[in-house]
Amino acid sequence: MYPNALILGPLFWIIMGVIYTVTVTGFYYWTKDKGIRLNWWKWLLSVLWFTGTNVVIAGAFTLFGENETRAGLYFIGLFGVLFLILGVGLWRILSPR
Amino acid sequence: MKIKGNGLNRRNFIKTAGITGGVLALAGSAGAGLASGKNKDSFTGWGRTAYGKDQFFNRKPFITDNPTYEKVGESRRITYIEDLFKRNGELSRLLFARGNEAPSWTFDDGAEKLPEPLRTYYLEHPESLGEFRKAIQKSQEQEENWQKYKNKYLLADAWSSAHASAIQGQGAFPPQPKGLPEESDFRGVKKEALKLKSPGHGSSLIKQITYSFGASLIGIARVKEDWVYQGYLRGVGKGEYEVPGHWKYAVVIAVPHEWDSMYANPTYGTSYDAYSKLRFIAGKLEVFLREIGYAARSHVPPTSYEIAMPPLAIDAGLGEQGRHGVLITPELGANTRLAAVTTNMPLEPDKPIDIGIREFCSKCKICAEECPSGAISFTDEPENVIRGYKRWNIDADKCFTIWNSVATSHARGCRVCLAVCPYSRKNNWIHNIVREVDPRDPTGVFSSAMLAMQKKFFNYPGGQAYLPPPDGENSTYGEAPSWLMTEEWFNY
Amino acid sequence: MKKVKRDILFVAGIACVFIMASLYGKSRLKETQKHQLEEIFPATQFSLEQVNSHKWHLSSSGLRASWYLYTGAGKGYNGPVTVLVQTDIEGNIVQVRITSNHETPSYFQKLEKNNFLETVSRIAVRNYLSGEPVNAVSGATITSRAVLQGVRNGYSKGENINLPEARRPSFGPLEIIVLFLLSTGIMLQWIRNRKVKRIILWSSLVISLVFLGFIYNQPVTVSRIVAVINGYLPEVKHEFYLYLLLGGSVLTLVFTGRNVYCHSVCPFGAAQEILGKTGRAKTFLPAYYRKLKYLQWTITFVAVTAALLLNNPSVAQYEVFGALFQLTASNILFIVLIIVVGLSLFIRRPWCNFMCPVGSVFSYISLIRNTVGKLWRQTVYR
Repeated sequence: MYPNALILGPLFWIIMGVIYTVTVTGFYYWTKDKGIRLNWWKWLLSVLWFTGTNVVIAGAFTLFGENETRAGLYFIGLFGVLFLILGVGLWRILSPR
Repeated sequence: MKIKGNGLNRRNFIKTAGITGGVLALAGSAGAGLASGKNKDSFTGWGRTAYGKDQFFNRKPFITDNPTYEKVGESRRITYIEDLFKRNGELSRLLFARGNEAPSWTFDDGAEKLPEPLRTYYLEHPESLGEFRKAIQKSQEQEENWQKYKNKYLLADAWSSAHASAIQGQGAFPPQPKGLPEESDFRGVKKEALKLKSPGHGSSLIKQITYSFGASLIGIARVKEDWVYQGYLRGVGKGEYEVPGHWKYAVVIAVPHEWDSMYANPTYGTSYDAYSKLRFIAGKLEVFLREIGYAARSHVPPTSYEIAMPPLAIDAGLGEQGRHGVLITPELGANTRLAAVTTNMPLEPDKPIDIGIREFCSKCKICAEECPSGAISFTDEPENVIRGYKRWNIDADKCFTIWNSVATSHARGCRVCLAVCPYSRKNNWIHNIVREVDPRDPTGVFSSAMLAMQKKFFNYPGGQAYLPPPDGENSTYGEAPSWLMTEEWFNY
Repeated sequence: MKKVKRDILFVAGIACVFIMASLYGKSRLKETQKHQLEEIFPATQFSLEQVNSHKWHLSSSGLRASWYLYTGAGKGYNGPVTVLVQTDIEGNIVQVRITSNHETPSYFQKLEKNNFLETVSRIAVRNYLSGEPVNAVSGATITSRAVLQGVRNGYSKGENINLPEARRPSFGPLEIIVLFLLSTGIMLQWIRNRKVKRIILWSSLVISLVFLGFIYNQPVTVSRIVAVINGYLPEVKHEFYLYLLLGGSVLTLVFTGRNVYCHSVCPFGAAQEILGKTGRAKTFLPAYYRKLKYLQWTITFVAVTAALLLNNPSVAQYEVFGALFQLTASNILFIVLIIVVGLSLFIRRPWCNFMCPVGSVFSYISLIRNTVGKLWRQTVYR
């Protein structure tokens, strides 16, 4: 399977690295154009939120892969909604009043 | 610095790419997760790992001088009548006489009229007599049930029989010992052993050799008298025996059941896959040890043991005993089946570990809730003192009743407690986080949170559901693998 | 004048439908006891003999043994739970079965998962006469107590033993919290200072969410109301808080005209308020608001009527409280919960305003109050 195959695995993670870089750069310009000033802890919260969302999705899909569909759905139902609420909260913090 | 007439300038391009990238990153996480979950290599003991890589958990930080079983009183060895199979066998001969003879004893007669040593035993354990009556009723139902389900479980049954074939009957490997251990364990031993550099070298060599035979986990323990059975010895028969002096060390070997079929217990599971693996590993090790000049005796499943395995494995640092009485190891969870080879080769024993399994078991109780027979204790703390050791009691009689009634061709047993145990999980990132964090958290908050998720997220059908109709619905804990489902391959 | 008459007709009509449905539901045929027992113990293998209305003698030659059977009933969450106890001649329980119940499936499953019946059957039957020798399953206390009561009831009636029954109402932390929430709810109506009002409201909401919601998980559900309508009053000595909660809310509604329960007592309302605060939710007032309201009331009416017709209060339970506070519910309810939680971030109290059946019930009570009030005023001032 691809993350473990000889060349496809490392290649996959290299591409993932590129994608993350592009995402962060895009976010930077986007906030700038919206007039949002990001200080260090706002950056930290944003990055943590995005990492967390990725982990939630990966976790749910790992459980799907293990044939534990129900557990995966609950996982994404609970933590996905939690991260949605956190995301809305984060947006309130970031966005200028 | 805008270029006129061009909507997609550099900045807008990066912004669009950023949003696309965010979505792609989430998709990538999903893909990586799915692949990690599906990966069969993370089935410890059945993946591509070998040469000891299955024993991936670093036990060093958790080494303890006090094994996690708790000695509270005077200990003694296990006597033969405490073995359920021997006891039930003698009772059956009274109840169901050969031919058309009337039974020499019936349940309405009561325990008083039983011959010794059954009388003493059942007067002390009256409830286990009633349970055996239930077991007889269940085994009659089981025979009818098999006619109903023999097609549905054809492949599972054939798969089990194939595994069993290698270890049954006269040609079974390893051969049963004949005569006293002092002669049978030395049979084939070369006259003179070469001088071993050190016991440490001995342990290291034996471990690497045993890994190469296919063992998933190996630990070495000193043989403790308390764990050795009393009253019966293979190759000799009934009688009182001392522990032979050349049983100095035990090499304890653990392998898991094939995971997919194990999760689909009870009806798709079998014990024989792990049993045959263990018998081949232990039998080969026995030969290897004798070839290099040391006495060796293998103690192998299903019933060829002189030593009780779980406490020996605790001494060998493989894991801790769970609420369900089964050894729980960090790598395999409760999906751990054990064999041992006793030898007089100088070895360096491993130390027991404490990774907080007992604390976890006192909170969890999933196995007790899911046990179809109700044989597993629900008490928070172990309340029974058994032969001088405090532990949760397993009601073997109750277990046997259900063991006897699963919808399989013959009593092939039930391993639901192994399947539902939260420790029985794959070797992949999500479960390894839990594996590594939980034993390092002294507060127990982490394990409580994980347990709450475990109970809510995963589907536990509940004890009764595993039984055949009308009591249950032949449920399995996990879905059966397609290669064991008859309906995937045959028309019937 | 006309409007009052219409209201009277409306109120009385709904009441009539409920009464008829309840009568029909109760009159439906029930299986005879013997028939029930023969399903469990087939005549091919066992022979059954009735001793009295609660006791049977069971024997089997093939299994070389004989037993006693006792049947009894206990007060459950949504109605009676009937229990069958099989004992051997010495009075050791062989098995305990629940033969009929109206409990919410998720609570009932808790008993199964905890092997509660197995635990119950480990204790000799006479020990149940003196009290409750087995601990109730946490999270399904009422249902498990009903089983214990059923065992005691069956055995005592079967053996003609008279038992005194205690009737002291329970009073513990849950009752104190309910009283606190109700009194703050009533107080809020008279406080004018906005700052003080806000502090009291929010502390009340948080306490409700934490205690009534997550710790005790005891919001008022429509199935409990249906059970009360149907004449199953819960046990005072175990569930006094429910009398306080329902009685207090209804009485405040009748005397002050304010629905305290929905405003500040309900834990799910509190959850929505808190989510709304996070997402700066706005009140959703579309042109078709009235129609949505009628839809909410109609659905409640249908659910309650169906529950009464089937004589099974748990049918009416379509609330998502269980999903949020205990993570136990059907998949559809989980999806509904996720949608409600998502909406709550942007709309104020979507569940209360457009879906909640308890809200509909309170609206109905409020309608009765206003109609009766108008009628009274008319007769007095004419």
